Amino acid sequence: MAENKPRRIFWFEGVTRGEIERSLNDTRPSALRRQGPRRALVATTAVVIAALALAIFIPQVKVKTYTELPLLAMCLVLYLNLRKSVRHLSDAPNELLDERQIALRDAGYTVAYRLLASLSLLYVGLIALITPDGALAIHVHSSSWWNILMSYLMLCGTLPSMVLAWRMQSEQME
Amino acid sequence: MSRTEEAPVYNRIAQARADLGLSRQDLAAAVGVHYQTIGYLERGEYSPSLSLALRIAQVLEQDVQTLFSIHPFPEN
Repeated sequence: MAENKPRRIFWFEGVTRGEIERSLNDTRPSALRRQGPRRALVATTAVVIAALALAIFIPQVKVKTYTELPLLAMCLVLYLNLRKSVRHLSDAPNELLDERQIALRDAGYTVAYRLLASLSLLYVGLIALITPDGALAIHVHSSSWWNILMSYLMLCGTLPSMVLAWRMQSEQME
Repeated sequence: MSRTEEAPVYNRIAQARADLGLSRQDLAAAVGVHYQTIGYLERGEYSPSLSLALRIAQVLEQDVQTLFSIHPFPEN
């Protein structure tokens, strides 16, 4: 019986086997392996994601555009570094991880889900605040939905890595 | 008692591995885990599943109860 060829690309998880294996076996020293810098990265990402959503309150369209594009670029850079800081554990499929890594990832997802559920309420509140017919209607530019959507999508994408990066201890040299 | 409150599992993996002249990478490859996981196990920062404990015991040519205990091992 022919053996199944190992998958090289994991479409649903958005990673490749090579990327994960390189990341897991990377022995080069890096600041991202220590808890302090990792937590600083998490805090910065949280601030940037929040700023992306709150940019809707900038009244001048030009200023708003010049603010949100760098924020979005920062979000993407931070997202990629967060993934790297946790050795892509939050995105890796089971078949590329061992039991400790799977347990670590799954525990992180439980916390991330609870946080996401709570933070979603804040986004709902923000939307209610700017809905034209709402009692608290605050006038914002019509493109503000884009900001909220991008901020929320970035939050959904980064939260599992943020939680893992926050919880993981500094790595010891093996 | 929750999983996080479980009593620690003590082990003699480092000693048994050294006796056989195996590196952490060698043992990791033999039991199918990442080399860092062996480090976590040896430092007592992670308690293995029964399946992993059995595989480690087999590779290190020891009985599971010789290698793992819920009581601290006496210092040699």
